[in-house]
Amino acid sequence: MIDAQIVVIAKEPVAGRAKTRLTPPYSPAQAAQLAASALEDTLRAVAQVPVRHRVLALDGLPGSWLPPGFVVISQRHGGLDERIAGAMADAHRLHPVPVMLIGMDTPQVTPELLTSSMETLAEHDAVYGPAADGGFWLYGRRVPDPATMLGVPMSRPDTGTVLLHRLRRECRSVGLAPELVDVDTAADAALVAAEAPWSRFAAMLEAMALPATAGAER
Amino acid sequence: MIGELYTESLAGAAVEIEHVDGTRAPLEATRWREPIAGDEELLTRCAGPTLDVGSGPGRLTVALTRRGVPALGIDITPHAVHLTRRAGAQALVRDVFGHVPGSGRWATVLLADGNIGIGGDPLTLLKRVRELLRPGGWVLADVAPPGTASKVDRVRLRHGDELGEWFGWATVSAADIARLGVSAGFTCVDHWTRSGRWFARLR
Repeated sequence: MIDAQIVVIAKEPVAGRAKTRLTPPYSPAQAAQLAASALEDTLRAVAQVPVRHRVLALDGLPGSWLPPGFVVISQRHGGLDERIAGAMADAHRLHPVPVMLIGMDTPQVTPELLTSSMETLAEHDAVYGPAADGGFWLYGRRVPDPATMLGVPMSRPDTGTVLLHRLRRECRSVGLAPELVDVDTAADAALVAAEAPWSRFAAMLEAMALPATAGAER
Repeated sequence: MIGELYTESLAGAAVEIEHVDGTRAPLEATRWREPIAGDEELLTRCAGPTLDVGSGPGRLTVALTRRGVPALGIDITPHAVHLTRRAGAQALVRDVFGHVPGSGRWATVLLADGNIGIGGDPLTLLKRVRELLRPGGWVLADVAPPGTASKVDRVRLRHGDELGEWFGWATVSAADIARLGVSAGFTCVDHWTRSGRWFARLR
């Protein structure tokens, strides 16, 4: 049992609110179904990690996609930097143990990858997992410090670099997790599904049977 | 425990409800002892045997009983149940997710005063309440105004340095009650406003 916690920051998969950048080519209802699959894959991977606490920082309400074993908290208001910093601080107030945060856009994540990332955090002050688009998919701190995250410009090609630079300045040591593709556009979705053919996300994408060419547009 | 601090609050102590971000607000449980504007919207719609879930000091259970509507209050706080009985109504110390008498036979289940938030998982709560209702029975609930964000919080009660355990509590907006109700298996959901409160009805 790892004496730490994993926080999943997520939005309730409701049509028109979740994964809107998949529309087009997918309809808002399809985008929400893909979001629900990605979220469920993520939560089920987290549920299999031998970690003390699992927290879902949710914008919206839980649904039948929520497996047992999670404590739900609400997200704070504000930009993504404020919501991430707030979720980590709130989780740490609830359970004063190290915090590792991920989103709902990497359904290819496995319990093994999460476990090894938690082990990395146990050896460093922070752990950082870069995303292929220049952002990050995983961020952990032994003791969260909201100031590190606040003001990091989000959804930019240099988002991850800015965060990593800040971490290297503020922490004695920063461990790295492998780079992953996160699902933003339909092209990403196809890549991720190919990488994780076992996932609910891949099955849902296949069931939607979009013409092969549409996935290649960006 | 929720129970002890809630009991103190019912007696007028300055108990607060605290969120994980550290913000606090007065619980003011005594407000649930007196009639609240809009109560009539709920009471007139309780036509048959009514289960008042999270009945607290029993304001609505007692009002129904006085009108001749068979009513049972359930609450996890023994002192709240005691107050309800002392006022002449029936109440039991019960968790809605545990054994509840008359399961499958209630004409109306009340989730008043924000009690749709019980357990911090309104979908699971509504599914549970649906088991308690007789076929064609109604849930009557207070919900939050349509502009409010539906959410689940982790909260605890606090009286000075005395702290309760963290527990889940949900807020459900009127704008989300229809899709939530349908997910829980209800086929007919509507909502309305009166006296500054928002109400929902599910069947």
